[in-house]
Amino acid sequence: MDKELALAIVLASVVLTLYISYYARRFTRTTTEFYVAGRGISWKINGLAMLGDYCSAASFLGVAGAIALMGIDAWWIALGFFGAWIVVLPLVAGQLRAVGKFTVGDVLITRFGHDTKLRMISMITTLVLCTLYLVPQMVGAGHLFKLLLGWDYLTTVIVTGVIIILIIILGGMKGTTLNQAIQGLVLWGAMFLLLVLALVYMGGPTSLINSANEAVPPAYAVNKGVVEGDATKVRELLPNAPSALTVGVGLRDLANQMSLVLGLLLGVLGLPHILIRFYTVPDVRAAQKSTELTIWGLATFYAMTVFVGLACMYLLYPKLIGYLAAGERGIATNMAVPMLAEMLGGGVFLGLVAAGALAAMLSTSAGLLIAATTSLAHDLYASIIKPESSERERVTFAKIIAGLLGLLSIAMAIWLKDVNVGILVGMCFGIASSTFAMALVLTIWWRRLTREAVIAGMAAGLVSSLIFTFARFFGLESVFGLPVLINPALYSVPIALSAFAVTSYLTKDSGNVEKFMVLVHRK
Amino acid sequence: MYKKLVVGVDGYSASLEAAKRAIQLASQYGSKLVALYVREQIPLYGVEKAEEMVEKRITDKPLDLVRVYAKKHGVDIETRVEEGAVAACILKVAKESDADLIVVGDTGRKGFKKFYLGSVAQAVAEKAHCPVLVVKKGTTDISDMYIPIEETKEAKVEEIAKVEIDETVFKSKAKTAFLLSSIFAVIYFIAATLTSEPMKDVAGTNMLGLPLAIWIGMVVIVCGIVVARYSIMKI
Repeated sequence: MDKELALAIVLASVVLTLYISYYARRFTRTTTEFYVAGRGISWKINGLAMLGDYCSAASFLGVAGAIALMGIDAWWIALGFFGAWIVVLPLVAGQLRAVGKFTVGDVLITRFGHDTKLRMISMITTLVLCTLYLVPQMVGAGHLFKLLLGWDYLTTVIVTGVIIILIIILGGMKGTTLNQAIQGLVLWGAMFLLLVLALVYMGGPTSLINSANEAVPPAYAVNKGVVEGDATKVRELLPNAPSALTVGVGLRDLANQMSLVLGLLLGVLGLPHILIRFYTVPDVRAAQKSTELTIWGLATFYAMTVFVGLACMYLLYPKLIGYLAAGERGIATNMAVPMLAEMLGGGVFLGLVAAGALAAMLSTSAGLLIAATTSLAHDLYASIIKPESSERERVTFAKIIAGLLGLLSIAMAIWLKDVNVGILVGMCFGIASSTFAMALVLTIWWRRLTREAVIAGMAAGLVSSLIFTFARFFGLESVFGLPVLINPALYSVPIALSAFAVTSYLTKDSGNVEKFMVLVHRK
Repeated sequence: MYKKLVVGVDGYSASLEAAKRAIQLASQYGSKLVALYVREQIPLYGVEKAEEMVEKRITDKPLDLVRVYAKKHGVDIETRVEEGAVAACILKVAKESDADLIVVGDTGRKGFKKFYLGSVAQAVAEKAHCPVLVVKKGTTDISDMYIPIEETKEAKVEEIAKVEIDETVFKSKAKTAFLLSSIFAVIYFIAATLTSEPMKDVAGTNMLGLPLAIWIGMVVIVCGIVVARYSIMKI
């Protein structure tokens, strides 16, 4: 009964948000209340849309879920997700708006001129990032609907994955922006609701912290052979074990920690689906203000996740131990948040929180598919395959390929079902930080950068980060003698940076530098 | 009979047909004409905008096109640009100009597209304080309206780049941008080090009921917000 109620609420919320965003578009054109849609609405909507676009399964399910299993270390996923935006604002936000048109590649082309290799490497990087970033959304959706419907993971991930892709691609991508904005509000609200419930149930924040101080992180406990018990019992079994608030449990050494935080900090500078949102506002000021709004939304959101995560650990303790002991890590780490909702408020709250999770996943998936189709339409079709094609043709071609990439991400979601979605997204950040992040910051600020350096640097960054990412997926211990870490950044960022720098000093074509600099730094 | 006309134009054919009719009327009655272009403020993706287009955009500079045509027919024309909801702006300008006739184009959308995008003509006709003339698309021949040459991207770059970059301004911008990012990065990495495994005893120290680790995280968040504010003020 609970689950049916929850499912009904989830489906109702999807229908409602779709309806509102479709209706909203009409409203913004035909309303006769002048003050409603005048100046200032643009950056507010964009800020909320960026929030919805950015907060995905990783932020909503992954962070708290990881904290629930390994303790406070996992909060770095959130702090990294937040911190990334702080460097985006001064370094690229306004500048992208000044020169950007459709894709990230456009900025590079504006400086270095039409170059097939440049377009290709931009497109390939965009597609790799979008496909990989879709995987955790599919994993999250798969686990979520498994929880709601009771089917097995394989079936749910294929069915929900295909439905998500079809909705977005066939829906013509209409209303995506307004949809993302509304979903940003929904996911924020759902997390807030869950926090309030959890604090009320536990008797306040101090009580929550005390309980967290007692609990031994389930991942640690199961590693030591525990197969069942609640938080108090397990603490009796392992009196000297670390608590949920002890650092160093999940991120076992400095190298892992640094690689993760580095990859996260530089990641947003290179994520296509976020960067193209900067192109949609009318001017540089609006780009900056919308970023600030997003930053506030994220700050409050991620501050909430730490308490929700700790509550998950304490209240769901026996369940988490059970899942881990049975080898079902995926459920434990990715479904902690909805399970907590169900425990605290039955079917209704499970439904509301699941709606929040789904909002997060849908809005991000839409942003990713739009970034992928835009790149395919403009970087590939319009620039290389058939320049005289119509907008329609390009978009049709792009949608087909994007659909195929979506199917690829579903396949990978089947393979990677036990990985925490926050970590999966973190990998994407690592790849982005070693490719577009460097390329854009250097293009915007460094005169000495050359065209060949961008191609060499992005290629080097892409290859090295992918090697270490997949090494991790395959469970390899080391590659070329280097230990495989939780994030590729510690290796791929320096490799990419060196390639950018060295190639710049060895080659000459720094593009249309002076004109570009005027263009990109104007206000 | 009509002293002041207001017509809403965008780059598409229906509104240009409306503009031509408005100019003809103004010429006939000796009225003044206000041509209004509304810049929508909704931050849509390129793909979203493309999906909304029913047809090819005729011109990127509808006000120029209309002004030239009006002058050719001896009509006293004033052009205005507003930002916001299309229907609302048209009504606002009409009120401000004391218009006694509003002229709008109607693209004749049907079905889902109409549900999605709505009808500006309908909204204006419903709420206007004066008569409204709705010009349906395809009822007027606009082939005699001179179409100005589309501005190329290169020309735009040339024009902007005629302004030379102020080296000192650029250097100071670069310095501020990198200084702010570095300040935050340093705080961020110090926080990461203090909460790493080798420092777990430090991170575990109790401060006002919470372990230092949580306070450090909060500091990172607060610093981030402060640096963000500064970035906007200074860059």
